[in-house]
Amino acid sequence: MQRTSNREFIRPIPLFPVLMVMKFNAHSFEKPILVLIIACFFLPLVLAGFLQLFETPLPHTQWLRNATLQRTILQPERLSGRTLWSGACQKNVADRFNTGFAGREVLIRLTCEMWYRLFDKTPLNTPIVLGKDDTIFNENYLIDYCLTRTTSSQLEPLLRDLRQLQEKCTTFGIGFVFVMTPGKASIMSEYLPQAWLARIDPRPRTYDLMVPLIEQYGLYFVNGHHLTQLARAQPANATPVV
Amino acid sequence: MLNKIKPDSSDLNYIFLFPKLLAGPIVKYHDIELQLSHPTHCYEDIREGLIRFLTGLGKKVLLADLMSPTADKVFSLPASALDPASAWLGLACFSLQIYFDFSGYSDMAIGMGRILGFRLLENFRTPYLATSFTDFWKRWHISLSSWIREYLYIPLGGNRVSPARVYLNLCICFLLSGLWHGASWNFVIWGCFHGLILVADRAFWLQWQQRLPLLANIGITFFLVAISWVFFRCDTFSHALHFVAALFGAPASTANAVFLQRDTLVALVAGSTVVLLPLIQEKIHNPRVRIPKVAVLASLLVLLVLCSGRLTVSSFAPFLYFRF
Repeated sequence: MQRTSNREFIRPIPLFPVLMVMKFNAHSFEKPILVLIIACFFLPLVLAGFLQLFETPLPHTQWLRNATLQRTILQPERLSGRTLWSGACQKNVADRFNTGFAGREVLIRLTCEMWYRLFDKTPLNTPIVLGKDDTIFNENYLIDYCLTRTTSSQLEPLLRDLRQLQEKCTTFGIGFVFVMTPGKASIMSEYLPQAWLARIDPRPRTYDLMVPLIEQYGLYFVNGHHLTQLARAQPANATPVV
Repeated sequence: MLNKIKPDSSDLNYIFLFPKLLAGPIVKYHDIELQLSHPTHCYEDIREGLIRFLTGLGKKVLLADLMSPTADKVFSLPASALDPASAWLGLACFSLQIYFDFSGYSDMAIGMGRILGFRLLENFRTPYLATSFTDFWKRWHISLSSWIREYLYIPLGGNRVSPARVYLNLCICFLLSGLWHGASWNFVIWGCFHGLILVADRAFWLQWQQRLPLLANIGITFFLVAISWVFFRCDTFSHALHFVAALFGAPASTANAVFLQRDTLVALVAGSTVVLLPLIQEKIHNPRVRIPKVAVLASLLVLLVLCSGRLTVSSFAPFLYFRF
């Protein structure tokens, strides 16, 4: 049934029975797919609501909980005029749905798996990047190790401040040690993904510039990077090669 | 116009019509007056509405949101770290991001309206295939440009005044269109830029461009539109100037951490294909070949699962136009 013009309208009819009852020129598979799409929108909501009705899972609903991998359940906010007015109740309902809707964990697993296979990283805001032999790296550490470069002149103000801090601490009788800890990318650089290895900036890294400056400014210093490399050189601590 | 309308219950329906409540498309009362007083549902409305809604969701979640991290990274780089390659990459990403973000929102609003039985006006018609700026504004945010034409350009005299006055009216309209987006000099300059190019269109370019091939006209228009997005996206005017300088070769003095990653590349290729699709379809159009609706719906079911997965793992990413 088509509108012939903007001025001719069909009689209003209920929304959902329309899908199954009315006979139009649609293909016979069209309506089941349309119902599936609508079910994809509403089924998680209905299932999550059904499962959250019972604080102690009933035996006959456990299979559903397992099938949808629904594990995260937030405590409900007490319904009162105050919580409604402040919006806490509405926010709690939204949070409970966001973190506990049926099928959430299945969706997360599917999406992360697909993203890993396609792009070697997660679809999260701070992506986890897949390196060689399935080693994982936080992208921020890769950026620091491969791309971020600085100059001695940019580092010197920081070292001057550290020197002053060390002197103040010494004056007050407080011990001061500057500990430099290594990032995962610098310790396990042989496992870096090829895409990042190809882009390593050849200029000296911040670490390479920092060590001589620390010595120049006379800071008490623990070189975590050096210690880790020494430890890794011993056979007992070496990273196993798969 | 206003004195012809008698207040009734459909006024409230119009005010609270939620598909258009927060952002565009701008729906004028007289455009849907009849639909408000005679609401209707039919199977085709639900089917077409769902198709439209899911298309918009896909544009937003799978295209715009994939491009936004690269665009955000490039536009947050300090001037000293901005090199031409990064600047062009960021601009390409932002140009596609803003289109898919806003047209995705409009598609979702139109689709939702259609499911409820309302036929809202189109807001985008392949704007990046425009052959001139005049053509661009007939295709981009159509509801805003028609609102400005109806309530500002025509009351100022429209085309029935001297050429100089027409040019002035165009500049005024686009200056105010810029201010509509935000009270910042960037938006003023963005509006002036568009106004001046439209004046050039009227003065000589529309005649000159007829000698050029279609693709060259599309390319020139897209290039200028993309340059104008720099002023739209940058936070300050000086940042925008540095960005434009970097686009045209000002080298970076310090390194930056931006490069084209595989997910962004896939999004850029997919986005460009979607943008160019109408042009490709026009070239290979065969009226006997029609994609069955059942295939469209089946692919949209897959799209819905992909979008739901992506939405589940990512954090809140609001629509760009919610700021305006």
